[in-house]
Amino acid sequence: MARTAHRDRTPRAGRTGRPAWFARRRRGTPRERRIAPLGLRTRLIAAFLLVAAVSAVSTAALTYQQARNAVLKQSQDTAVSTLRDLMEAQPVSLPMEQEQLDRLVSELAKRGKPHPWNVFAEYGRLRASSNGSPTSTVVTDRLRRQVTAHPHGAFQRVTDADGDPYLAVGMPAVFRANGARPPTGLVVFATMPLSGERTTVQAMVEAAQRGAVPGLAAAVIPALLAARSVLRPVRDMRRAAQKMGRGRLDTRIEVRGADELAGLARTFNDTARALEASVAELRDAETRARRFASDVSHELRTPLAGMLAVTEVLDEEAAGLDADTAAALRLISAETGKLAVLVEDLMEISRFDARAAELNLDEVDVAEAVRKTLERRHWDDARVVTDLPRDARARLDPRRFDVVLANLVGNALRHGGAPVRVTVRTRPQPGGPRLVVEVADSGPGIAPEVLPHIFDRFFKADAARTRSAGSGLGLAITLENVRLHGGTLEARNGPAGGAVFTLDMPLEADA
Amino acid sequence: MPRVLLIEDDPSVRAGVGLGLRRRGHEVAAAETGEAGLALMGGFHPELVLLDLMLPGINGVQVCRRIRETSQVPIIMLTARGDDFDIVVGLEAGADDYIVKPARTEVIEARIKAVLRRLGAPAGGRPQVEFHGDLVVDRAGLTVARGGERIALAPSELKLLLHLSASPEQVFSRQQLLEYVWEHSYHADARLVDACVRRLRHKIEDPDGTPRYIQTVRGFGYRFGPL
Amino acid sequence: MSRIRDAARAASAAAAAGLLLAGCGIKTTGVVESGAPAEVEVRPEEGSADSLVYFLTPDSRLVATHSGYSAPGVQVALFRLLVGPGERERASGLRTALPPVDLALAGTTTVEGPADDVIEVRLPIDVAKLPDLARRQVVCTAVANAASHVEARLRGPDTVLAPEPCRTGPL
Repeated sequence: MARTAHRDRTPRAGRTGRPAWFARRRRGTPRERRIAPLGLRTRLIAAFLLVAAVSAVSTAALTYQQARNAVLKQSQDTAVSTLRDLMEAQPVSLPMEQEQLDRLVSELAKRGKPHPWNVFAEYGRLRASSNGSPTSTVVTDRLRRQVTAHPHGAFQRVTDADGDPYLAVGMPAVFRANGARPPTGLVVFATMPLSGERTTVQAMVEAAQRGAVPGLAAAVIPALLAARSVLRPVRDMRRAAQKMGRGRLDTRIEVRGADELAGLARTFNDTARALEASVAELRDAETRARRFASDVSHELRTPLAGMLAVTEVLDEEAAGLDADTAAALRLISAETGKLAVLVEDLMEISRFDARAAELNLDEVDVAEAVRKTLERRHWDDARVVTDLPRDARARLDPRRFDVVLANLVGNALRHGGAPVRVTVRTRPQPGGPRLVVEVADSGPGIAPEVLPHIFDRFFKADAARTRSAGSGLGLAITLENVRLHGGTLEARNGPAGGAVFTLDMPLEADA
Repeated sequence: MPRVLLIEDDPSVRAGVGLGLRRRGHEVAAAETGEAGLALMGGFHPELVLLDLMLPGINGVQVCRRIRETSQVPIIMLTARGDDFDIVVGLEAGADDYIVKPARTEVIEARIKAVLRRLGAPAGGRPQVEFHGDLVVDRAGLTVARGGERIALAPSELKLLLHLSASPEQVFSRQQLLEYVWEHSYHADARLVDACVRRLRHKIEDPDGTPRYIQTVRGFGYRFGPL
Repeated sequence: MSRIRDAARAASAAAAAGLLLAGCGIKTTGVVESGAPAEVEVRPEEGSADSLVYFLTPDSRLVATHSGYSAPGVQVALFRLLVGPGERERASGLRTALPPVDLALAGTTTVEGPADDVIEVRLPIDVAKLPDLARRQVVCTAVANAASHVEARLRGPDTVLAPEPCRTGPL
């Protein structure tokens, strides 16, 4: 009954000496990806630049368009009105003759504005031009149709075969007659290259580019500042979350301003506070439980010290008393001894739980340390077979190492059976050389369902086994001692059937 | 049989240990507090003091220090395992050994005997008085002098010095010293050795220099000399 | 993912705008009407009255020329029209859509009016079958030598047409 009670009293999570929530702590996991494929900073700066680029480009484009149109309009209007004015200054007679047409053309061609131009005049089937060729290549049929059909001036911007821009102006001539303005049939075309305008426009484009590129570069600075102001709270929060992940539950974020991020920070702080409170509550409860166990053991120890000092008095006197009294006294004496061991083990495990256990390291010869442990317990006979390395020196806590080895060998002798093989060897490893101790017995091995619980506190593999075997804390304390050295302890069944405990710890333990 | 002064505040321990030791023939005087124990020192003249570290009033460490001011009587501390800090402080204060409570009377008596046991006489042919630099070691008279002045050494300190100086330049591991000098098991507390070495050095070495007599061999232990 | 695609789209739009800005110089245009035609001073030849006769250009538009006759008046102008383009007109490529008419017959053309802003032209030729351009040549010549806002009604031996204004534009 006491056994089951013991077993129930130690939940699984408590076996490792850490509460269940503690197991969630993941130390040494690879750092979470810090930045998504496109980080927030990158995206913010990109957005900023995009906005700057779009506004710069559209502003430049609009400005450019307006300016270009103004430049062109100026040229076009000048050309159209100049041609009209010049034509109006030249009286004609009808019907026109070639000679008259030639004179007109040469007269008009002299005064091209804003640039020198070529003039082509058409009347009926007569053609005259200032450059010798009867028709112009840049005067389109559409322009000719337009000005001959409708008595209005017109122009068209075209490109010649080389892609150079030209302005073609068509101007029909009418005259005033009897209150009407009938067409004379004379149409004059003037063509002028727009290379000057093109240069101006090109200069404007270059100016826009020269302005836009430094403008965009300058936009990087406010972009960085804006990104910083947004990202700093985010970064703070990430750091705070990482800190909390490392167990610093008192982490808080400074709340700046009243924006959404500040709200998030406030929520974070509230959550952290709530988490801290409930964790503190859990810790308190656990600490109280542990302290209680520790206190109880402590309080038991003092009376036990008195009792243990006088047990031999009982043992000696029992011989002279009647059988029942003698048996009762021997029982008390023997149980006092076991109680003392139990209390001592409880104290030891409490210290592990409180993480108050310390390593007192010393340099020892491993083989000698093993031999001394076996000698001291009179196991240095045929029951224990050893295979020990020569000249292997280790840095460890001799007392704890003795406890570990004594528990493993004692356990093997009790539950397994002789002969027990103790194999010690050293093994190089990148992190430093290891000390490997294997204790194998010749018994039936450990039942599979028992194996996972073999290091549990107060766990007894054999329900029928008498309590005399030990305190029930032996293997638990052994495991804690190994861990304290930075090592591992594993139990399994060997190929021959016996139980095998393998201890693997650094040859040089760190305090 | 030796006269033992037991300073222990818990009545059951006091009574139990007292009873056990008396039955084995020891003359035991028991004191409940440190002050009472110190008062008994003069009249009782104990050959050994069993000193509980956790005492009301002045504590065990202070009692230990007070005793050492006037006497080199062997002192064994009674402690609980895990009271590591107290053990270290008690050893620095001059205690020769400690016993972890609870302990059977036979264990306590074994420790008492070990502390009181004299080292065996040196092997034949050795001189009774040895000279090591400034040190004069009288193995027969169990005295040590430095520069002509006698040095008061606690039993553990004396035994350690005699053991080491008996085989100059030979390295002893802490475990070996625990076995030979303290008669402890191989796996006992090496801090006993380290604390004792510190106390010994404090008394025999030049305070400003590196140790001449008791030298540390890193990774192995201690040796005497070479001078 | 879609955000990235959006960003890419926006970036490409900006790039396109930039290219537009950088690449565009002076664009060509269609034909743009710009203001009034040139109003020239037309001086009749020395010795010619300023009466106007409408002939056709090679591309079948009506253009006015001076009659070349010293006598003014609508009747003279119509006579000149029926006679057809002279040497100078033909040198310039002008022609007429009217059928050739006997000179004696041409001289019988008369003009009545205007009455209610309509003048009536009595022609010695059939008017029903006159080509459109020929009819317009007659109308415009008649109107040009009367008053600009009037319309002309043609009457031939065969029939009378409805009054119409002068239209010089193409068909």
